[in-house]
Amino acid sequence: MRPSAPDRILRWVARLLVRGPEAPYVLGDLDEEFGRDRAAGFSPWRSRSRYLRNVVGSALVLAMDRLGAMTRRIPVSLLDVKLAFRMLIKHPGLTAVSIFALTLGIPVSLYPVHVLSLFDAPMPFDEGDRIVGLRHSYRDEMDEAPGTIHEYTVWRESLDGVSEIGAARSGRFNVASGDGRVVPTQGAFMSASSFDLLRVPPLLGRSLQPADEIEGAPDVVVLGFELWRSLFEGDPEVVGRMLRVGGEPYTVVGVMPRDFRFPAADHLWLPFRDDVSMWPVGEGPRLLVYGRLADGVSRGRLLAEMRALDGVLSQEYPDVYERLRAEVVSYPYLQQGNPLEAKWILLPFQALALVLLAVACGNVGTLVLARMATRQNEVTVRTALGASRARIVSQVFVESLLLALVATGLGLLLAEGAARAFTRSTVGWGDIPFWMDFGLRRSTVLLGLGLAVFCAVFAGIPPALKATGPGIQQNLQRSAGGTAVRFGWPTTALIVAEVTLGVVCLFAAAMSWQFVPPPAGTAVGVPMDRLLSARIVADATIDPGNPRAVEGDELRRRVAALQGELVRRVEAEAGVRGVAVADILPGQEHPAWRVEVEGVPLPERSSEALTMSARVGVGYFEALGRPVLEGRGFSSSDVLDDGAGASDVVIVNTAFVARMLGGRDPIGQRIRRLSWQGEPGPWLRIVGVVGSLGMVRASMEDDAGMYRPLAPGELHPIRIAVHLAESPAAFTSRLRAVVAEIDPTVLVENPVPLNEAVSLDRTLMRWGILGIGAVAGVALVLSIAGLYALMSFTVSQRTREIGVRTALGADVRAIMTVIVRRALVQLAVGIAIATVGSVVVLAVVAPTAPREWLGQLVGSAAIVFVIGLGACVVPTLRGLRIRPVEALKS
Amino acid sequence: MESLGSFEQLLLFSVLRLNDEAYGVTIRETLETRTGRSVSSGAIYTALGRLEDRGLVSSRIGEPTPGRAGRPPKYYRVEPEGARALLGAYSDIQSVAGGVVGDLERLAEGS
Repeated sequence: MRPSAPDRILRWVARLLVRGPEAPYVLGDLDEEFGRDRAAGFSPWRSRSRYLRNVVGSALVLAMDRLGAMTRRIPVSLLDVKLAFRMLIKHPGLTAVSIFALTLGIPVSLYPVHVLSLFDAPMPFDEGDRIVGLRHSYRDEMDEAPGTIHEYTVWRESLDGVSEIGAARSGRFNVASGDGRVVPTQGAFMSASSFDLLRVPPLLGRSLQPADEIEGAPDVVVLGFELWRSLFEGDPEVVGRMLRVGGEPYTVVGVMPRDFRFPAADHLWLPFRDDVSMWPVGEGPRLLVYGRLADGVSRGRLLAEMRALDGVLSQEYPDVYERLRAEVVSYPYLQQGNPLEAKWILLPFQALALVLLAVACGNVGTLVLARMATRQNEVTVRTALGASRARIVSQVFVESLLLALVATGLGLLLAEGAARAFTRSTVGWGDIPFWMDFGLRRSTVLLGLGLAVFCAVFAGIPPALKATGPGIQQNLQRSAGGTAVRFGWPTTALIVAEVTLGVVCLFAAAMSWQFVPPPAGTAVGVPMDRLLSARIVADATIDPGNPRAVEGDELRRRVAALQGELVRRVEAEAGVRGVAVADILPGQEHPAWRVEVEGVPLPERSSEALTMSARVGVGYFEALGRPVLEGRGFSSSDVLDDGAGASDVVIVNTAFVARMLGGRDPIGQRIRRLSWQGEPGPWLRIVGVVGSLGMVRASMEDDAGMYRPLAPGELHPIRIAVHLAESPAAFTSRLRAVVAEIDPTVLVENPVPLNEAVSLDRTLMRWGILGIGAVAGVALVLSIAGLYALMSFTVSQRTREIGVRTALGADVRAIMTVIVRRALVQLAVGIAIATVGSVVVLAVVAPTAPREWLGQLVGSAAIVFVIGLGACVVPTLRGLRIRPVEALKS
Repeated sequence: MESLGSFEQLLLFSVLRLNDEAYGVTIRETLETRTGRSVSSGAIYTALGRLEDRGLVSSRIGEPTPGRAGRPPKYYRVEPEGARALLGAYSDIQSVAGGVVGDLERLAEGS
């Protein structure tokens, strides 16, 4: 019987990939093995799988072997390095452009891999690579399950694969020292075993001990270094002193060293007294559980042990453990979720970054080729004197490698600086986890060097091979002494692609820039640096990031009482002109709603019916120094007693009156909100009009908006703006003290002058726009450099022709037109593709986008055209300055 | 005497074991069966090619068969120089490892 053969497609793939002198034997073996596998009873899929694995493995090995053989034949000497330096200095413009492109391209390519590597880097502790996270995930989903006290207890008692195991639960607390200062701090209830696991001895005193975890034991706390410095001025006698954490007294027993912030960004540690008997299996506060691998135990072995234990637990507690599956993960993933998710999120960025780098390399290759075009005589002479093709190629490779290494060095320095700047700029958002050190690491530097070699190979060898190709002699004879190097369609396509990318990125940056709010000015009638903004959080475990509706009557009553007392006490303080309460403050991006005015048809464009909205407390406008212009402000009668806030009154601003009411008298008019599906809300009656109070970040004026009353207790966390006569920063500690007097468990989050709060919101946006701007800059420079190189080459190639034409009296403009025609066509094609493509994309994705964006697109295209035109014209004019006699001699 | 890497030693032993039937498919099968290691055909031919350059093995082209789409196999055999190199490597291991294999086994069991 004829043996089975692989599918035709498999054999085609194998023939495509497996190359080299041994390829016939390998391909024959592949077919024979496939037949044997099928005869042995392997399924077709298994046989195909084995076949493909062998194909890929063989292809890689054979390719690497050929590459090694090639590089062994390429001779490189110190002389090459010296010559490379000289060549780079001789063409400073091309050198600078190439270095610039690679300096930006290389760190951008490194960044996603670098960020991802942070998650897998060993922890900064003794044998930190053996500290792992232990958790369960749901079998049917990719999500991780929250850690519970039950699984921690079971693992602690049963697992042999870990030498130590610990658990922690983080929270935010108000920490008050004896002198009345209160600081919100992130801390953790952490098991004493964690300190043994981490092997970090305390700086002062002791760490937590198992005896501290016994119910009824004295309440002790271990401080972080930064907290010790800020609350106790680094007092070496701090052990034994008292402080209050969340209103409860604790005795300081130790201080940890600088930079110790385990489990994430924590600055104090309290005894872990969670009791497994207090919670049903599978329930309880969310814990982080982690362990140190025992000697000789691998992650795989620990995982096997945990999964075996899961089998037992599933029998005992099927409702909880049958749907769970144990995992052993790198510690950062314990905090940050799914490793696969992080990889998938960064994958598109990495792909984009590599595309950009490939474009940069391609363009550098074009520049190298252009440079080679001017060295054709040198190549000819060297070849005549016996230099092999490999010798010449190796020298070009060394030049490219030198370029790439310089660019890599600069790029890594740039990345280090950007990382430090980014870390500093995020300080206002709260600490980032301790393992997130964005600075350079050895693996990043090594990867950068690898990329440099890749760039040198990609950018240096193909153009050198092209310039020293087998047909070079014939071409030299045909061109009668001129250059034989030709730019083909790949170069054309590259330049068109770069021009397109440059226009698109410039347009994207211009579009994004309008979302960055201008410097916070006086839109509210008082300087925003006189308003101290803060979030008041009544429950220490709630994320204070966003206000949300209060849940539960008890919490609502507590928040209402807190708000009332807070406003009363703060307004009584010296220097306070008012306290404004709202769900969102001036200068921040307000939510937008479609609004209908009674008796007025809706505008054709939905965007024209959009109205900004905010919920504000009684006395809001007066507190900000912008009392109502017409009608009245909100009063307590506008808010129902039960705090449900279902009031039917609204205050609008002057921009609303102008746009939505056409300037008619607004008082008494009725408006209502429309959902995005068009369903109407209840009618609201306009009772007052105010001026513009900065409801849109990008534009402080012309923002049609409305305000609805906010009842105390209706929203939590509470956002306040304290209007002060003096600098707000000085009032911060007083505000914390007042809040602590009312309720020591209440947190005051992020108290900053309002203009700085707005600045913080812009930071991330600014970084994003900088990124887009950098990509736009790189793409633009690459395209312009490519055009410039093309034109330089064209001019040098046609110097004799220019001389002849000039000598014969041809018009300068006519000569220029002939020379720049090709480059102009490439420029025009690239701009046309970018413009048409952007219009089509916008029409599909954002059909209601304001027409101003078209103007930005045209502007971007115009900028690129003008710069590109300059890149074409400058070398041409240089060529025209050559005297005809010299041109004819060349 | 020529020095040999561990993979080269495995290859030479496999070629020896297979006598006149040592070519890519059989060598690969032998390695998989006896060591549990899955090695690509490309790696086998690359390494044998280097050994041949050093004169440690020699090759001959066999007859093409239908199961190989008409492509001939390439058979290898160990040359005396290769045998001497392999013997030297094997003797070195025996010399260093002699008497401690029992300890090795006990250590492996204990982890």
